[in-house]
Amino acid sequence: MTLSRDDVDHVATLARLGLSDAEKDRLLGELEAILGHIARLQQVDTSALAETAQVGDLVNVMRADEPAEPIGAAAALRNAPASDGSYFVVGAIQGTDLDA
Amino acid sequence: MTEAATIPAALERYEVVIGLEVHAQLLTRSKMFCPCPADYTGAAPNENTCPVCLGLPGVLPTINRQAVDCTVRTALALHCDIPAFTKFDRKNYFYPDLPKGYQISQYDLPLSVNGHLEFPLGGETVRCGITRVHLEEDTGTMHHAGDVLQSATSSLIDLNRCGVPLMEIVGEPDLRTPEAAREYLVRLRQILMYIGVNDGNLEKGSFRCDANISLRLRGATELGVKVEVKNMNSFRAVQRALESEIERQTGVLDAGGTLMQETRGWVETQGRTISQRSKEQAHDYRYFPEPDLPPLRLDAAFVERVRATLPELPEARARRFLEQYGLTAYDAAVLTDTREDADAYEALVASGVPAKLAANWQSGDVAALANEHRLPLQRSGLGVDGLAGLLRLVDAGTINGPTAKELLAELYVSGGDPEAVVRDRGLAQVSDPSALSALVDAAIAGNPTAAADFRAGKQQALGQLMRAVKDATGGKADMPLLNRLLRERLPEQ
Amino acid sequence: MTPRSITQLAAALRDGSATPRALLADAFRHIERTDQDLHAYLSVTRELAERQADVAAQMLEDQPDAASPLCGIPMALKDVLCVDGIETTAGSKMLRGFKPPYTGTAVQRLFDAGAVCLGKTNCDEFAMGSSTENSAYGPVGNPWDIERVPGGSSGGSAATVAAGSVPYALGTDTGGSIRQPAALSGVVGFKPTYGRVSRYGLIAFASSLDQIGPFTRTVEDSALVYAAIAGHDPRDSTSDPRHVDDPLASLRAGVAGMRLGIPREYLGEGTEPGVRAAVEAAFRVLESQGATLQEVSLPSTDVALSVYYIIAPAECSSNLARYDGVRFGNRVERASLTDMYLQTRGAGFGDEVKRRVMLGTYALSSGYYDAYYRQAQKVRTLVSQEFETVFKQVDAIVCPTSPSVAFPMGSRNDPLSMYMCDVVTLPANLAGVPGISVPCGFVDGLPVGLQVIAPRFEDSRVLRVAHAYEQATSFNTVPSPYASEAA
Repeated sequence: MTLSRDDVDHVATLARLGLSDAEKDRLLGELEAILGHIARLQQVDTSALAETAQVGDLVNVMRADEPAEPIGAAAALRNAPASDGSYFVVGAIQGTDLDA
Repeated sequence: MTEAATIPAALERYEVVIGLEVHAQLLTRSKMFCPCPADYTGAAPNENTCPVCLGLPGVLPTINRQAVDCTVRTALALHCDIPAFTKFDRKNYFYPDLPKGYQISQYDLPLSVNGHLEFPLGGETVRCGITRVHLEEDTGTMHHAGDVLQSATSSLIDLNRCGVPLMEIVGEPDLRTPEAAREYLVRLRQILMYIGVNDGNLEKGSFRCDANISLRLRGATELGVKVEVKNMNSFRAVQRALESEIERQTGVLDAGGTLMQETRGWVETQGRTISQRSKEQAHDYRYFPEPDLPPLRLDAAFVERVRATLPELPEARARRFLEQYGLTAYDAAVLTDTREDADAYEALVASGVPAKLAANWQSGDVAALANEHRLPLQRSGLGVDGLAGLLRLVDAGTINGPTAKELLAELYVSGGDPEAVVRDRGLAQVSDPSALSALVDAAIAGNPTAAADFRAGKQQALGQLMRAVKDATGGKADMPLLNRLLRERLPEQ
Repeated sequence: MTPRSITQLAAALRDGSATPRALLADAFRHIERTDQDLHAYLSVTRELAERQADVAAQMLEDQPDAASPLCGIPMALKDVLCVDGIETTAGSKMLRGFKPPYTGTAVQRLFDAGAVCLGKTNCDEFAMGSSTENSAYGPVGNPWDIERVPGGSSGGSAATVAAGSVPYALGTDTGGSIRQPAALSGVVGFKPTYGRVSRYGLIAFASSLDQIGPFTRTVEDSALVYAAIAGHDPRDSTSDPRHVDDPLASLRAGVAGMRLGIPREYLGEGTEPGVRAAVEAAFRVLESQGATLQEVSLPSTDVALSVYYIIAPAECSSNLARYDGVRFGNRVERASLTDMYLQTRGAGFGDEVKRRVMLGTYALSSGYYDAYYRQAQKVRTLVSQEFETVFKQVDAIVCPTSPSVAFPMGSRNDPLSMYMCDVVTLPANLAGVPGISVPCGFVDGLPVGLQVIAPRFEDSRVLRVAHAYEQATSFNTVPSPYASEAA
């Protein structure tokens, strides 16, 4: 599978990574090399194999529905790059911000 | 052309295909994946948060058992299958109300699949398939400074709601009219409230609905272009939005145009939907299994345990009321509207109040008072037991109807033992025929014109005479007896 | 002289020859003298340490016998571990100034035992790397050769223990990030079974692979730290509720009668001759201790690297989505939200993080999921099955920890050649099995590590084999040049 510059653009947008053209060019080469190496994965016959999403045999790990004290707004907002004392603040949102 | 004229005309040519997606917050005590309280009512912005629901670096989610139970309850009430294996997945997208950059949801192996909801509509039974019911977490909320999204200069983020357990109920595209869509939602909400998993508040957004709607020419087999409609926060809004969409889509199709696959928002004040975004750039949510949460294996024993906790559902209960208590279909529906009402009704009957009497009072005066005081019977001062006592006095003929009405209105809020009040204030009705006869004679003597009029066939004239006797008894006259006595004494000529 | 171990310092604290404050002062003096060169620390937490030293002193005075062996002992934490109110950066510009409002479970357990935290150690950004050159705050020098890397990603933790500043430090291991730097820096590094140590409070790189573990100077010390941090945590749903055996109970049981397997794929062409020689000598030591050695095969070793470089980036692409400039961390202000996201993340992440986020996003994206992510998940099953098969033949696996010794800074610019560093460590993460690296010799003055791997939950066995080897040799007692400065 070969990677195109459009693929790099698309993936960078999906991942919300602002990359310079030089970075994209470099990444195109690096990702191609890595994907080329990884391609050997396709040769493995996996028809009889289940998928492992996590190791171990844990199931039904659940907690009781007991509420605990929240940490509160002051602690929540302490690390915020921008807040008005009550809310986290971001710039204007456009219709396109949810796309891609 | 008005909507009223357009819709039936449109429905003659086009088949409307509607599928609804409902998001319902679960009535758990704590959030889905952290122990913050699930009820954030009245909390100052961001007060109801912890490192987990804030999505801080290093935190991990834990599954709220009660949320799983609630979802399984819902699934069973909607006749769904509960697969033996289910898991959570991450749905990845960026938005400021989603702190982790992914929502923990369920993708290919949801908690339940393949159910249905049936309801009567216009003399027929509508059956709508339920594709799936799955469990996820709610997002935070955003406020846009400058009121509307489009002109806002900044957005404020409140994460109090973030992480509240949210159930997504995906319906099949089996609905054919806006009215059916509305009725589906009414019934679904009723069931969720019956089984105690959701508070049914559309306005507050704890019960939310999105609709997918498409039109196709009658007889066509291919589905039309699907439009998603959002921002409907009342049943009325859902019906109006869908009607407006049918009108709009009909207009486009009739003019030979093509529809675009898009998301549209209902604008209540304008009475129309407006385009929010096109689906040209399809979302790529990059779902993958949530590595922080082991999967769930819900065995048959667990499912049966949950099933055993399910109450009788509204439709079945109404049917039983019809048969067991001899109620009309209307009364049965009204009295089973909420589980609390139905429980109250059955408590009244169990305490010895005749079924019909209990039904009349509960669906009449009691419902009116509950509405007036915004106080359901169960939490009123009188309570179900007090009402039962009152109605037993009515049934035994101890007090007359008007007295009962007055007492009910008085005791509904303040409370009190009706029997004691009747005894202490001497409100028992005058049912002694000889005592009433004397008063009847006096009334006829005192109102000769009315008496003559009644004799001459004016039925209304009887009212004046009855009032006179009733006043003479301090309102306590046995009204049916009085009526009989008066008619005996004043035979029509 | 050889820097003292936890057990030695614990004894000194009890015989009155040392106090927590005195140990602390020695450690800080040592850090001041050495860290200009090493750059093992991103921050030094003097106030916290002094507070903890005083609490520890009280604990030791009140109950000298009941107090944990870790009580009053200085230590350091990899900067991916959250401590309430203490800056935690994960080696990234993105998190400069971030102070978590909570302390992670493993760290809290150490604090409860009376540990004294000196600081946060340097690491590859978000633990992604094998040399610690990917730290946004500059690389770490290897105490054996300051021009060389200490390995990574937990390079700062490895270096500070190797330099003798502290007797132990915590690191995290996603594909070898404890074991490989331990090998390259000449200390013991232990990655427990996945699920043994809570990940709550560990800034996630790849959730299904990450595990916290100690760097120490002796295997016994690793057992002590492990015993303190292991065990079920309800805050981590992947933490295992099974009872944790006391690793000290069987630590000295030796290897006589044990069957040890040498995977032929782990001594492949990429293995440097010096490393091979040191490790083969170690095999003979184990044989002399009564173990039976045999060759075994893990045929999917080669393809495991590919599995790892799909799964780890995929998980990381999602785990790092929260760094969006909204609730914490750095933000590049832009008028529109999308631009803010793009610029914040573009400026906040370094090259390696970007590379992996890109790779992982691609592997999960529509149209590629089945070919990459799903296929990798299936081959991951195969990798686990091969370990299970091997562990039916042998009790434990012994092999090199790294195909090479510490390499010069800047010598591996090609991402793929850097990824090859983990070829013999990452399979253990994919299978969730425990592994340890213990010093087993030197090549031109640079340390070599012997890796021991056992089945899941056989953490005690890993420690027991490593301890037997360590007792029969003395490589771990050779001080690094920087350790000669130890107090």
